[in-house]
Amino acid sequence: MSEVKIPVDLILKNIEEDRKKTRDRLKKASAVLTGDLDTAISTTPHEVVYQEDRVKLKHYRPDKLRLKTPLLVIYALINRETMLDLQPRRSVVETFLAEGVELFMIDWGYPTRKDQFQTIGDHVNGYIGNIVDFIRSTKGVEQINIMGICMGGVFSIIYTALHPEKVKNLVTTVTPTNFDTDKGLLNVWMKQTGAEVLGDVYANMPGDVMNLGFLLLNPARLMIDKYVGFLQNIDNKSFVENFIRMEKWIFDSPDVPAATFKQFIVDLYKKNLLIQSQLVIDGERVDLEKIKVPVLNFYGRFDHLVPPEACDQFTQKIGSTDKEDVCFDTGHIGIYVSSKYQREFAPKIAGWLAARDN
Amino acid sequence: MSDSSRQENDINRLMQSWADSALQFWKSAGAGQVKGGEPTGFSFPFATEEAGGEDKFRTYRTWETALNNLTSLWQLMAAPQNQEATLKSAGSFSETMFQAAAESLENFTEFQNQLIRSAAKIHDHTTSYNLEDLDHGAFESFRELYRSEIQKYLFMPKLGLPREFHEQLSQLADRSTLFYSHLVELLYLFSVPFEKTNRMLQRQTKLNLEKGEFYTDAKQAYNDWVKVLEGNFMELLKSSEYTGVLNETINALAAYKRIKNDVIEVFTKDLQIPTNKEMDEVYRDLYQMKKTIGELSRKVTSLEGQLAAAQQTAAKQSVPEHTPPQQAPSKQVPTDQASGAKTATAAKQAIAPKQTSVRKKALAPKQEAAGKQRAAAKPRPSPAKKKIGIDRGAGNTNSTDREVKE
Repeated sequence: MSEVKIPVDLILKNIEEDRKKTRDRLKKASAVLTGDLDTAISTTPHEVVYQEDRVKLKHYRPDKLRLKTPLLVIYALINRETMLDLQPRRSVVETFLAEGVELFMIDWGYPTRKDQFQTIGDHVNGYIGNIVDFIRSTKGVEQINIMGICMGGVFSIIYTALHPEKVKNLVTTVTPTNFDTDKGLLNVWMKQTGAEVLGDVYANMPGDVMNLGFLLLNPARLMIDKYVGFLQNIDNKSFVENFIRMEKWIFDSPDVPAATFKQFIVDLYKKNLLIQSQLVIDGERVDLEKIKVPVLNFYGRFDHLVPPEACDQFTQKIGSTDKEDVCFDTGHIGIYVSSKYQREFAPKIAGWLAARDN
Repeated sequence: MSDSSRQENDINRLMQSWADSALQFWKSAGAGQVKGGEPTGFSFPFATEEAGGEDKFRTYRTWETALNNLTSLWQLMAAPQNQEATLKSAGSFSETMFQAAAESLENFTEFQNQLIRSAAKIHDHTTSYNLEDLDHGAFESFRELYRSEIQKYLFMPKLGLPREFHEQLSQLADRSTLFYSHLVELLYLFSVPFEKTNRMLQRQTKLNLEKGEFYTDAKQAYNDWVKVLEGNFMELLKSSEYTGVLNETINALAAYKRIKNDVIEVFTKDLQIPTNKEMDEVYRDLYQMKKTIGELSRKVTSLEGQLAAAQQTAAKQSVPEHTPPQQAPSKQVPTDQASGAKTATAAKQAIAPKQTSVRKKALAPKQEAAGKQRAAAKPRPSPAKKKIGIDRGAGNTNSTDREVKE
């Protein structure tokens, strides 16, 4: 065996340095963790202008209005819309306002047991329908712009297909439309398991159970590495504040009404009806060909929840001639919260809407 | 006198009393046996009816009767003419017991064998990034043993008034055992990537050491470890093995939750608390009612629109002819209805909301301003607007509609 030269002295030196750094870090961390931390989320001023049951409509006014048509943001039923306004200077809402977009955003609230029978149709034709009419009426416009996020994107697509006359432009972001792919773990699991049964036994699908499922998509990163990173930066006040904000958002998970959950799993994940224009909502077929408004479709190349394959067929199936796909090199959440895409995402939408605001 | 010495006396007295009773019992029992096999009757002399009256010493007298019956039965079985039958029964009983014990032992031994074989197999499966050949024999063996040796006792028929509740309890025990066995299996799967990662890194470290290389930075070592771990997890989570176990765990959880809910309902019912099933029925009715009310509201809105348009048209037509307004509509109805319907449809398309829910309200502090904006936006106010939440606070006089909504 050849002679081995292990730099033992270097290793020992590094260990000693690490030990010292850790000691210093922990000393500072104590001051950071016990000091005043600003971890508030969703702080951009807004008012709730409409409420129906648990659902609220938030209204954000820009200082200087540049677009005539207001934008309605429809978030998913999973997690909360506060993700778009996590912190000052890293907020999609703030960017929209700076671009002169008048913003309305749906807060779905926290479904309780009495909401377990609400279907996708009740959300789309009911809550969203009433909110769109409310905005059209109060703003005195015939059509509004709609932006959907993830599951909210699916709702906005369904709404636009069923009520095209009320939508001026449609923006979909990380929105799954083709569920027949094995690229995403969720697609694999939902197809190969009978997860919809949980909707029945829990009345509503518990947010915490779903969150556990999302953590299991990448346990090494989401359950280990993330917290190792936190410990490594525990003395950095700004890092800690941002980390806590994200923790607050990610574990703030309302339950999903059982009927909607089951319909989503069976009709979309298992039967893949939406992209085939075979989905039926409240007795009406959702024909994607009927979407003739301009469409801007965003998705993330490294999205492990909604892979690109789940998003990139949508624009080919609709009747619009003015349509655009935008793929960012980021993940499911990165589009909205990463510093890099803060500078690209909302400004791109605002510009695109402005060009179609005649 | 101190507390401790009083306690000591109490205990002594209790012991003395117990010893006296025991002595009395065995004396009496012995007395029953010595009279040449003749049942003389077992008795507590201090507990006779004469000594205590009808209500006193009832328990002792019940014991007397039971013991005397038992003694009679023993004597009957010991009688020469019955000895053969008694011995036969005793023989077959012990034979049955022995057989059952032997079978259980056999199954247990088989289980142990499977367990050993499975444990040996688990350690064979260390191929990197390959989780297709995981062995879950150990978990299935446990479930097999449970099904063959324990489940049958849980499912023995229950009798009497609480039969249904006892059945539910047995099912709860059964479903929870199965669920937890699947859960443990799932958790076991999550341990596999760690084991694989550690082995891979050990091998890599060995190779590096042979080349004279080693991590000088702990962070680099951690980064490599977490990267390999992520890869191993990805392989696991995509594997059919994992989805199979996940599916079984979900189904077992659903079965367990269902029976658990049933058992909880028994208690909530007993506590006079409305059960979830009962509340779900109420919620379902409420949901259906909201939908029905929404449908009806839409129809009312549409009809109101038609009526308003018809009245407006009729009024316009009647003015030049100086006809009293109330006489006009009768002949004009078909034309007016058609135009009214058209107007109403246009109004509906423009602003009418599609209502499916009852509790709806606008919270804008600027209701008045919004109302003005809307009035400016629309050439003619339509009854459909009343359906929009913001209008309601500003003087919707449709009392029926408002009552229902609120």
